[in-house]
Amino acid sequence: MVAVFEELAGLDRLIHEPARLSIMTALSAVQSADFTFLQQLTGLSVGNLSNHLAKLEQAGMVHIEKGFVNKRPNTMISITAGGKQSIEDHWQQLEALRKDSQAWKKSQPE
Amino acid sequence: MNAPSPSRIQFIALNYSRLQGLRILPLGLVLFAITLWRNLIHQPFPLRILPQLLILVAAALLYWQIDHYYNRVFGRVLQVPRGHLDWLLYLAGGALGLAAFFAEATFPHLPFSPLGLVLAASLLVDYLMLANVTQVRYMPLWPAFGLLIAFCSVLPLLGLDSWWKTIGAQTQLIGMLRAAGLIMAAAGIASHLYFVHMLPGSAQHGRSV
Repeated sequence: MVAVFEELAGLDRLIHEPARLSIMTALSAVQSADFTFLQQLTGLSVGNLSNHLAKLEQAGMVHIEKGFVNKRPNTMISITAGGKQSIEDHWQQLEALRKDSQAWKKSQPE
Repeated sequence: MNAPSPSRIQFIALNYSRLQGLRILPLGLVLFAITLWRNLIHQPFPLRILPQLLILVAAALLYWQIDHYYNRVFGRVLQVPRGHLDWLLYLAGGALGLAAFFAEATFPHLPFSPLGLVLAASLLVDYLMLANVTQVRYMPLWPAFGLLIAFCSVLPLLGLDSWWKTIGAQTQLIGMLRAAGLIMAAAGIASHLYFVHMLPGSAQHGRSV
């Protein structure tokens, strides 16, 4: 079980936060998406989503491009190659953790 | 806030445009409305063709409005380009649809509707392509509408000869197109409601249809 805790401690906390995990999961499935889509999908408020995106951008996980569509401001967000690798690694880590904890449960006497 | 599960997030992101059910509404309405004008076929040229052209223009305008609505309210997504298998399936579906249409037009007294069966199969294949992405628990209504079209297609085999006359159609082909149009329109509206229900942001901001 110690190994499980060690792995838990090694999780990327930037991505592991639920809202950012949702954002990164969504972005990893598309080429790019706008701010409204991410807001609808995650249910986050404008301020919250902006903060999370700023943190992800600072870490080089996402690329943010501001522009105009039909004379209205539009922000498109895409995941970077590094971001994609990080989210894939993260899901693999979580899956490994799940398997480890299941194995540990089975090994416990009833 | 009830955050959706990662599998649901991935499902919505991957199938974003497919889940926007209202996009199929103009096609359903076109099928339904054009078959209503079929009775004008013996009328002189302008009256025969003008209503159908107007229906097509109205449907194109409706589609444009729906596209605008989805982009404005639910956001824009640039999806990963479709794979070769998807395109092959679409081409095969289109070719099968055309073949079924001509088969039904050439042999109007078949005891089943080939076009209806192809339409039903296309809805079911579309659903399987969606469901294949994650689990089969999303979009439960979609296959039900496909099965309903399939059921209409085999009604003569079940003893309901000339069922299309009860909905005012002269032939099985017209009746099938009319019924499929209505079912597709209903499927589009139901899918849209399901899509809105899936998004936590919509529930939070009280946005619906």
